[in-house]
Amino acid sequence: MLEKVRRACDQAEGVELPGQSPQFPQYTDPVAKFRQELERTGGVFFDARQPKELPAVLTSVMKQSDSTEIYWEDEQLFQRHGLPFTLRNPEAFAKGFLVYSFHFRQEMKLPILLNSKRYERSELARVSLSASSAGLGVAETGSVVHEVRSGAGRLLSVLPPAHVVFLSEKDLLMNHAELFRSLPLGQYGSALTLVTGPSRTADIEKTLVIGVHGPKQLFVILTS
Amino acid sequence: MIRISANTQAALADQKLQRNLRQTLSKTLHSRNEAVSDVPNWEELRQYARDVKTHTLSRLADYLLELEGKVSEQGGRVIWAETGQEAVQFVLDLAHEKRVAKIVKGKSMLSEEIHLNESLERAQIEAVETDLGEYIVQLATEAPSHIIAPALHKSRGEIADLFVAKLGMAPSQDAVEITKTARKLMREHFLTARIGITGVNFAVAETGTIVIVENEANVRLSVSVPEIHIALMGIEKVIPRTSDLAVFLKLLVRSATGQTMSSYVNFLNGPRRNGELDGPREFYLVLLDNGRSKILADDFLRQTLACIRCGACLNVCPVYQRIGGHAYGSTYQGPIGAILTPQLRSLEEAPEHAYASSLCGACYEVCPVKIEIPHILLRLREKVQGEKNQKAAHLPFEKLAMQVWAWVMCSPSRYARLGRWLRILQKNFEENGKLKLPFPPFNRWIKHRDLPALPARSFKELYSSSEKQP
Amino acid sequence: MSAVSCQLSVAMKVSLFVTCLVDQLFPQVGLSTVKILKKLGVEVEFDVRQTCCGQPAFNTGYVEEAARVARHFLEVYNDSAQIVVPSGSCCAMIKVFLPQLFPEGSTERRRAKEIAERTLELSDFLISVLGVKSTGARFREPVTYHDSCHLLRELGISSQPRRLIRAVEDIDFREMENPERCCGFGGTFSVKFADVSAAIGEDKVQCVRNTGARYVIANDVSCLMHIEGLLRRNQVPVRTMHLAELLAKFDD
Repeated sequence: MLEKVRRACDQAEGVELPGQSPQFPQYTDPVAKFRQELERTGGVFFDARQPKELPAVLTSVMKQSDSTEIYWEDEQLFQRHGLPFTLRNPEAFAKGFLVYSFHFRQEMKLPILLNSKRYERSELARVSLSASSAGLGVAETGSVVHEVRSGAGRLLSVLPPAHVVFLSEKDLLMNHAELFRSLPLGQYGSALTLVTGPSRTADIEKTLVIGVHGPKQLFVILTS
Repeated sequence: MIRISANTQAALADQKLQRNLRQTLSKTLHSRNEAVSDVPNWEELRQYARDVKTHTLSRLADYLLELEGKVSEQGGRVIWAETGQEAVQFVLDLAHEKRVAKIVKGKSMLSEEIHLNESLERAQIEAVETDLGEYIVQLATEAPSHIIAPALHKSRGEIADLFVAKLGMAPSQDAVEITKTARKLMREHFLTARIGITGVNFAVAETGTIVIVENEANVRLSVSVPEIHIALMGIEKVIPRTSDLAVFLKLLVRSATGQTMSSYVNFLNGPRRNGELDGPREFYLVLLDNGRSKILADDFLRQTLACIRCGACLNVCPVYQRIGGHAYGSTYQGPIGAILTPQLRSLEEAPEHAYASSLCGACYEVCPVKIEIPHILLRLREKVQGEKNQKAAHLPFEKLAMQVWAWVMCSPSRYARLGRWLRILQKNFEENGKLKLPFPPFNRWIKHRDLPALPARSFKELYSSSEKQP
Repeated sequence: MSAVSCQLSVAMKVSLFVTCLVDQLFPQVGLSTVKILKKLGVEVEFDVRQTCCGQPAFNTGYVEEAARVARHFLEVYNDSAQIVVPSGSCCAMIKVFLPQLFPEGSTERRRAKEIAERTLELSDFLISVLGVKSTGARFREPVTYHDSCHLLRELGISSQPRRLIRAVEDIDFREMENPERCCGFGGTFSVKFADVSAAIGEDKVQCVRNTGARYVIANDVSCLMHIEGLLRRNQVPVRTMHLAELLAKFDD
């Protein structure tokens, strides 16, 4: 078959692969553009570049998603994004747990207390809010990149009805030309997803319906 | 043989279809135009994408090999399928070997092209379409009528009735309720199916990455839960570099749905790796030829394979807008279907496709990779006539008519004589300046619109007499 | 009568190709074209040997027959310095497709290419070559304009006809919705898929009606024949008019 293909294009006059990529837009305020685009798709943006904002932002996310717990897979998620917290049950973070849960009580004063529970993947279907950290964000379209790496998986960010993504301001790129210059395809894991807003469909009379098979709510928290 | 002309009357008379087409296509076109007008260098992007495609197609074998190498390195397996039957057989064999009873599927036109669902059904393997539109047509036991929006021909009411009848949904006309029902039902399937089958939008040769664009997250689930992922792709879907994706995605998404970006673009590099918590254990990439290398061999027609399946040419096509997708009787509809179908299959099997167009050229105008669809249609028409003439035992009537016509047109005197004769002959068929010719092709014209009679004198006659005046 | 806003500084001679359809069915379009050109001081040459450009055969896939007719066309126009055509699709046939009918490297192809370069559609000729602002026409009716597909997409002509229409004195020009959408004619498509062709045409008629115009103007008599046929069949009180007819509405 390959020979057939080779023979078919043997005589083809090709053009050189173009070198210079066309211009992609630049923004004076990429955060504002990111926010505008994300909100256009039905996503919710929070600015928590001031670490002290984080607890209030999380409270709001949980309220809006009607959740009392957040699930995530990445041990360093909260440390990395500057959320001050105390582990109530540190030994539970030992290796082998698939998912950690974060019990959040609004009435509690800082520092926030975390409970960790063991969860099997089969129980994921019951999770109402999950969290992950975005590898990259793109202002042009209000998108974030979800990376699958060792110790993490594909499902937690897609099964629950609500998902919150932490995006560090330094990882926010201007446009897609920048994104695809630096997207580490296949380097760290088997899957990457460029996420732009919540799951949606327009298959019925082109009427937009938010939340089909994936999250109905997408929150992005920008940290510094 | 597919006869589009036998399907048009019913399509035009179907009031529901006409309403659905009008409503949905105008919405889609509007969003597409808005999204495109937002990009000042749209033309530059089109040309860039076209150049990448032209280059890639001229070295397709090399890029496919590179892709295979990278996919294998990452623990995936590449299957070369020369025909649809070979691709289907591979899926069946794998499903049998793994004793799989249920498969979840992401939207894949290639799967439609090879009629995979029918084969799976015959083998008693349950195949569940998970894209909402695709699921709707599966429930209705119909084929997709649009390459991007499979259930575009159906109204909300019709879909609701279908869900009530087939799924026992509580009566509701609400799109949200219908979607909820599908979500709930589909969850079960996602969690119990052991194979996920998807299409492919792009495959990046340099990294071995499969790119799948979607909005619903059904693809994300199909490639996350089941233990096996099979990706089906036509050999023309490979692109050389990751960096080209910026341009292709921008063109594809804006052309297809008028969004600035789809909800999810999946980049998949083989099966799950050590330490990853989920994802398929096995990954198979089926590279399908099924007539493509034949198209590749023609210098002019090769550009057909540059198509990225955005569906914009369907939305803008005046013919598609009026007859919808099913009337084409083929997997691919509209202008792209009109040029793809007779080439993938044969001109004999699809002799009318190239003619089901007014050659208005709107398709070329919107095509994000600048495929010269109207010119390809003309080339295919030439080929249809060439084949027909070669195979026919007698000179076909139309060919004869054209020969006589050319014979007349090559001679000013014959041309003038014909004009005079027609003016005499038409008196038998004239009525108030209109002609009533009861034979083809004029009767077909007259069925729908008036045909003017020839005026008493031609321009040549009038002009020469006016020149003689002082 | 308003003054002609174009005076030729050099003598200009054009060869007119009226097209077979104009010759046999719509002679007034040809006469109007001559009238306009003469008024603008252009010497009009009309070769009576002309017949057709070959388009009907070419668009239906009969390339041999088209090439035969095209050869005759090339013979007739071999020595013409400037050819003017009052039809978008015939002009596109000459400019875009005629050379393709002959093998690469052949004398005929070279000749066809040369002739293609010397051929212009009427409105394009008036604007780009003559620099016409107005033909001095006067018409006190609401009109709308339909972009014929080949004129618009093969030749890229859309502003020229509109400028000329707007320059007509007393005109009430109303753009219709989607003027660039095909009228459904499509050559032999109009009989091979007559029902679809007519359905598309009915959409066009609706857009025309919505403007309230009394006349729909276009630059291709084939589109106009189709549209007029539908207008008459459906007893719509709107008539078609070729651009040349409108632009020639001045007193001799």
